[in-house]
Amino acid sequence: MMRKLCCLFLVVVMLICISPSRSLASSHIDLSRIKFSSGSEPLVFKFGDLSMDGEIRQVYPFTKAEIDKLVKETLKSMGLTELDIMEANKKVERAKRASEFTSDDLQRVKDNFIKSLKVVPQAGEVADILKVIDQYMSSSSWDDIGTASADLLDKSMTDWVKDTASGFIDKAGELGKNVNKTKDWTDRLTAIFDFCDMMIEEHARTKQKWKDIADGANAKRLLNKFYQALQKKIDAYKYESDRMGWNIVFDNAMEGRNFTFFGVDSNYQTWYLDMLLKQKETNEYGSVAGYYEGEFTIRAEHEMSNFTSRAHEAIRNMGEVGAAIKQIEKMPQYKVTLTTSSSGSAYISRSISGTCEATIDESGDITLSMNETNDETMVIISGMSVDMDYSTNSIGVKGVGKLTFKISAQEEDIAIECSIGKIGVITPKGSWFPSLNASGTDNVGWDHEIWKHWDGTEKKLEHAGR
Amino acid sequence: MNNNEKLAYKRLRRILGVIVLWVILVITSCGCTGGQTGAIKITEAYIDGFTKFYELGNEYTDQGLQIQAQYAYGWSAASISAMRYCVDCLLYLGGEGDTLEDVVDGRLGNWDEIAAMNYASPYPYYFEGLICSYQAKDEDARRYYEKALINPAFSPENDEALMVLITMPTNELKSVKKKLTELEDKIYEVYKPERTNYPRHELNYSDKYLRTLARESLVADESNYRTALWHYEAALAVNPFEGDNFVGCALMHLYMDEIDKALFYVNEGLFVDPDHEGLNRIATILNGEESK
Repeated sequence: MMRKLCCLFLVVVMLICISPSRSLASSHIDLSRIKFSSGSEPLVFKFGDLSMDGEIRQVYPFTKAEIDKLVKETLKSMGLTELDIMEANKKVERAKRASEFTSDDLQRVKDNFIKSLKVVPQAGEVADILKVIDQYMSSSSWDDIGTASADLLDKSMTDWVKDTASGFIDKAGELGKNVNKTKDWTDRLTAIFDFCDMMIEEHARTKQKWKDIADGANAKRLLNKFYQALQKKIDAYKYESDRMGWNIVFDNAMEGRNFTFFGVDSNYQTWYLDMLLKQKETNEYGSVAGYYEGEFTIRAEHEMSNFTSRAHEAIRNMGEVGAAIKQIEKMPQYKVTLTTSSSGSAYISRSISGTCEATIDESGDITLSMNETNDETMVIISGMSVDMDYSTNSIGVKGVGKLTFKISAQEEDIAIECSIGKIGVITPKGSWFPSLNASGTDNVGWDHEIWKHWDGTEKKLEHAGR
Repeated sequence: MNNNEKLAYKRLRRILGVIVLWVILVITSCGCTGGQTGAIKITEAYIDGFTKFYELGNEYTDQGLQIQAQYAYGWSAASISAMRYCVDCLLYLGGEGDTLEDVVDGRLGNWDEIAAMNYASPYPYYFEGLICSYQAKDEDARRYYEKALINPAFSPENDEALMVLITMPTNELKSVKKKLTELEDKIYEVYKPERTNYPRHELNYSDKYLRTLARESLVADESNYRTALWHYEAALAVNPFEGDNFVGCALMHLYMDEIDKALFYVNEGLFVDPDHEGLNRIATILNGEESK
């Protein structure tokens, strides 16, 4: 039991010891003078009604995380820890430098001060001014203002001063007559040496105070040295960061939508964008404003299962074939049934690539122009077939038939091959099914709704916040 | 005793004779210069003491304590130059040079200017008195000695030893001057004394006295911050370790709408007097942490 308690106690002590040092670390470096850039800003690429997320980012981001890294490197190179900096800060924390104040700060400070003093110096309020002075000074001055200097001089001219001065006159006179008088002082050489050594200490006030001042000065010097070294590293990094500028980056950005293809809804189109524009010119180092050049590739992939499984719906919207089917369906004596006999497969993809350039002006507006140098569409539709069964009724005669439509495409032009399955006439007297073997192919074109957001639309690049 | 033994005895006597003669010469030499060596040692002790202020100034400069560095350099310069000018005067009065200016040779040759480098040093008044003593102008000498004695930094029992200067022969004075000018050159290489129009006064060593003058000037004219500041700056120059002097300068600058200068004095004051209550209160207000 006792051993367990001891172990528990030790663990608690260790936790207490460790925790403060962790919490103390990393917050004692004064980075107030360093202006960080965001490192990146969100951008949106818009085409049609679609938009994709990207960013404009510094090649060498100048963020707090990067600076923290530089701080650690600087500390290590100087053999310091953050606790050393904390200790040094403590010693000089009250001695804030005037240079840290901006002009706005100065006005604020002045307002605070005048307000806090409650005494705005005005003519005739000398008593208040002296009150303020007394309020902030530790030692009092002589009370008898107006005659202090004369009084003090009178008080200083004591008999001792007058007598000693007379003694000096006498000694000087004696020296003129007897050079050997110097022997008296020569005998006291040791005391004189001691006095001369002591002279400086007298003026250095108390030794402890000097130690405090020296400690403070050393701490200040240490901090100055550290911040100079850190600033040097930061400047070098910032120079590199500024020099390398910014990139506009869309890295496999995605956007998707449901779309209708030949009248069949709920197909899904996904766009993927890779775009990289590098800053080529800027009017100011470190700014995002400037001219960018780069390349892009955008591709679209499609999920077409609704189209393939509902080919019987699609065919009604396919060119002249579809129009003919609809026309037959409208005829009252015809009864038509369309079924997807084979869903087959449909693969459609498109890849567009090229060069692009952008200009970001001082207000943050972006002008983008894209030059498409390659545009490839791959279409593989095969194995889809639709059966159309129909029948006609007239008095005493019933006509029946079946047509099979095979839908396929190798490019943006769907081909429909129609073949007659069977055709016959049924009368009360009997049936007649002649053997016919006829087929034909018709090209029904393409449903360009699929590309409506890209083709012919304006492409824009905008800051995400706008 | 054979011939060889006689020869050896004769040689031994000759050697002993040479040794005895050398000892006599050394003793005679010491006897002649013993007193003067003591005088040189006294002056050198003081030169060493004044040098330490110069070294202190260097330390303050290294530590970024500019006001304190000016104080230490000024103290050293006022004391060293006063001693050197005293030696120049003695050399001239002893027959060196056609004019005093010849002897001074372009260096500082004005007691007021020398003293103004730091009124905290009592030595300009003392050496000025010493020259008067040498010329038997006893009343003038007494006045200057009194002014030196008012300053508590002056130690009559030790400092009177510097009277040995008036007993020194020309060659020794020249030797002392050489050391002093070398030190002056070192000091003025790093320290450029600011010309001040603050009048010399025997009580100027006291920052308390100078602060009182500042109050007197405000009593006389409540808006005369510039004059009050003049006194506070003088107080700071003779004691840059007292927070009250920084308070005076800061407040006057504040009243004159010179906030940045006020901040400077508060910061510098807190650096050397971190526990000064008034300065800390002002700093708190300046930092916007107090809004009474």
